[in-house]
Amino acid sequence: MTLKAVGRRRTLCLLLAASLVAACQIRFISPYDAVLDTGLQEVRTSVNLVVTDASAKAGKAEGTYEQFESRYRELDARMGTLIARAKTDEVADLNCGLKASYLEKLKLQAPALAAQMSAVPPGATESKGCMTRLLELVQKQFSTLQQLHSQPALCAEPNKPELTCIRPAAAVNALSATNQTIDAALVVLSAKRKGETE
Amino acid sequence: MTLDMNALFQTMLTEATSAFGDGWDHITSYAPAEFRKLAVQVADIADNVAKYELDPKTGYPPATGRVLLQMQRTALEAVLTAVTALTIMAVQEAITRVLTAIKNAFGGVLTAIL
Repeated sequence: MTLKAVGRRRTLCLLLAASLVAACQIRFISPYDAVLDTGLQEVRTSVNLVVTDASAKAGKAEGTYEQFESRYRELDARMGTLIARAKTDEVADLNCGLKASYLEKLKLQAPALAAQMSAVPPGATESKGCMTRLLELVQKQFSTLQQLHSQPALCAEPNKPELTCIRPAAAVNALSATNQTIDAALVVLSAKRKGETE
Repeated sequence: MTLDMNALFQTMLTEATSAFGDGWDHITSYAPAEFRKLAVQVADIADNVAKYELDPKTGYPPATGRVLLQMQRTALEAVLTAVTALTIMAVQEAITRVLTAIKNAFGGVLTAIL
C-alpha cells in the first residue's frame, strides 16, 4: 500500500470517528411509547377479567365460549392496534429475531419447551423489532386461550361432552403464561421509560 | 497536540463497563426469576394431568395439558425476546456513553486534527 493510500485511509477513519463523536447518540431500538405501555396494561386487566370470569362459570351455559366470543374479538382488535403502532415505531430498529444458534442450544437443554419456538434463520428477509415480536407473542397467547375455551375435548366436563369451558385449574396455568408474556413486553417498556428519564 | 491513546482507552472502558453493567444487572435479575416461574408452571401442568387421571372432576386432561405447555413455550420465547431487547438497549446505552465521554474529554483535540 502506498503512503498516499495509508494517509487517505487514516483521514477517512478520523472523519468517521469525528462524525460519531459529534453525533453522540446511537439508536438501535425505538424510544419509549406511553400509548403502548398504557394500552398493554389495559389489555392485561381485560384478559385477566375474561379468563377469571369464564373459569368461575365453567360447567354452566354462562361459561361457554359462545358467551365470551365477543370479548375475545375485542381483545384481538386491541392487540392488532398495538401491534400496528409498534411496527410504525420500530421501522428503523435492529431485527430482534432469536439467533438460530441460541435456539439450537436451548433445544439441547430443554427440548420439550423449545420444540415449537421460532427462530429467524440466517439470511431471512423478515425483520421485526423487539416490541412487535413481543406483542405478536401476546396475540398468539390470546389465540391459544380461545382454542382452550372453544374445544369441548379441552373442557372435558363429565356427562356434558359438547360443553365448552375453561376449567379452573387450566385457567390458573393459562393466565400465568399469558401474564408472563404481557409482562415481558411491559418490562422492556419500563426499561425504555427509565432510560429516557435518567 | 496529540491524542493520548491510553487515556482514550481507559475512558471508553470505564464508560462501557458502567453503562453495560447497569443494563446487565437488569437482565441478570429478570431472566432467572422468569425461568423459575416457568419451571413451576410446567411442573404444575404435569400434576394437574395426573390429578385428572385419578378423578376427572379435578385437574385437566392431557390434551389440555398439551395446549397449556404450548402457552408456556410462548411465554419462554417472550422472556428471551425481552432479554434480547434489554441487551440491545444496554449496548446502545454503552455506545452512547462512550461517545459522549470521548467528546467531552477529547472533542477539541479531534476538531484540531481535522
